[in-house]
Amino acid sequence: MKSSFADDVVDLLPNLRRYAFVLSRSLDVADDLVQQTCEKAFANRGSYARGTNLSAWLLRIMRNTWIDRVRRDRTRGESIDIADRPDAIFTDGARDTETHLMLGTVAHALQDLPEDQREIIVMICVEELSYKEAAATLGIPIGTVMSRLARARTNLASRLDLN
Amino acid sequence: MHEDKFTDDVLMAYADGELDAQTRRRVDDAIGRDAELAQRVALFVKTRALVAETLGTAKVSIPDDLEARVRQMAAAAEAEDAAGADVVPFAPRRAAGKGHAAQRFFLPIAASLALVAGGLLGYMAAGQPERAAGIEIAGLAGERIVEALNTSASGETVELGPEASFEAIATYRDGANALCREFEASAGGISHVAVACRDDEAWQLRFAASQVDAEGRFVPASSMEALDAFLDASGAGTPLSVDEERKALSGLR
Repeated sequence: MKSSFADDVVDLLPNLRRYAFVLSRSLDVADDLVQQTCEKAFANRGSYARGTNLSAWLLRIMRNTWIDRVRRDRTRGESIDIADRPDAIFTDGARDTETHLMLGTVAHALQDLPEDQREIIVMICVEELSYKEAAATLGIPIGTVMSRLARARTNLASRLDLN
Repeated sequence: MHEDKFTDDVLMAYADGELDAQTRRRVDDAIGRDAELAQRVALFVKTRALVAETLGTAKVSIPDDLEARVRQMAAAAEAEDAAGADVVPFAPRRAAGKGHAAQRFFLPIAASLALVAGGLLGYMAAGQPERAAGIEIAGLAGERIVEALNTSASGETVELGPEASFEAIATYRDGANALCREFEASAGGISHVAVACRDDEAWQLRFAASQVDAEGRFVPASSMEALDAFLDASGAGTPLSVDEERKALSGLR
């Protein structure tokens, strides 16, 4: 039987790299994270329930991998806070346009948010997980998802002077 | 009418379409009367749209080598799935990433530790129908296996003879920088997973496991800890990319 699981994972690579970059703020670390996540995903593909949200399943693996990495890096006393330019991950080929400036402004504001706020805002607003899916992925109650997400968005709004 | 007080959480859930019908109607009513409340909702609509537009429409590029590695994993997984129903669900804890070494990777098939290292490849080469247990051949004697280790790309299946096949799963370097290949080999209906590493101009079998126990019963996924321990202990690195593997293998000949 030909599995479409592999194709689906490959199709989600841009989403994975984007989320990895939001978490790590470093392209090198992001690419490592994507690779480790895919290794784990393929090794554990038997535990993925078909019909459920593959993106949420992959993000959960990536998040666990990231937490593990941060814990180890801290143990080793290494700094992981090497922030690349927030828009470094995007290639839009139009560096001088207004679109690019706006993109850069929002991306900068987003990358300035605390990690827990960055990740939830991307999970919900970009990856389009439901509150329930995000709660399961992060292992927190829905109420916490909502309060954290609301805080993230009001923070972002004030950084962008939207209020 | 009763004036509801709505928190940011509820207004945001309204903007995100996450409210139940009853609460949604209450918010509908309230924002029709209260411009400030409507503006607050608009703030949540706007932040979502901005973030989605910023990150969602931008084209995220994927470096070629990263994509190649993932496609290699995908090909290995598909080949393995196509090879039979031997794939069993791993315990979710394997995905939790707790206490794993930095450079670890997972063997993609379930196996139980059942073979004495050194036995498998001689058995394979001889093409004997008996079960592997009890075969006493040290090292890698089978020329065809050696040839397959030297030449076949990961994900590629090589027929070794009637009912015998070889498939390289991944190539990596261990903690001592030795070139290692994880592969699957089957003969007489018994499937094995093994790791061989280059040492003194020859392949040495470092790890082998079969999916049957001494009594010939199928044993899925019972020895992942042993495989994990092996990979951890040997300092297994992440799999080489297609290009890196090709380069490493061409250096063997």
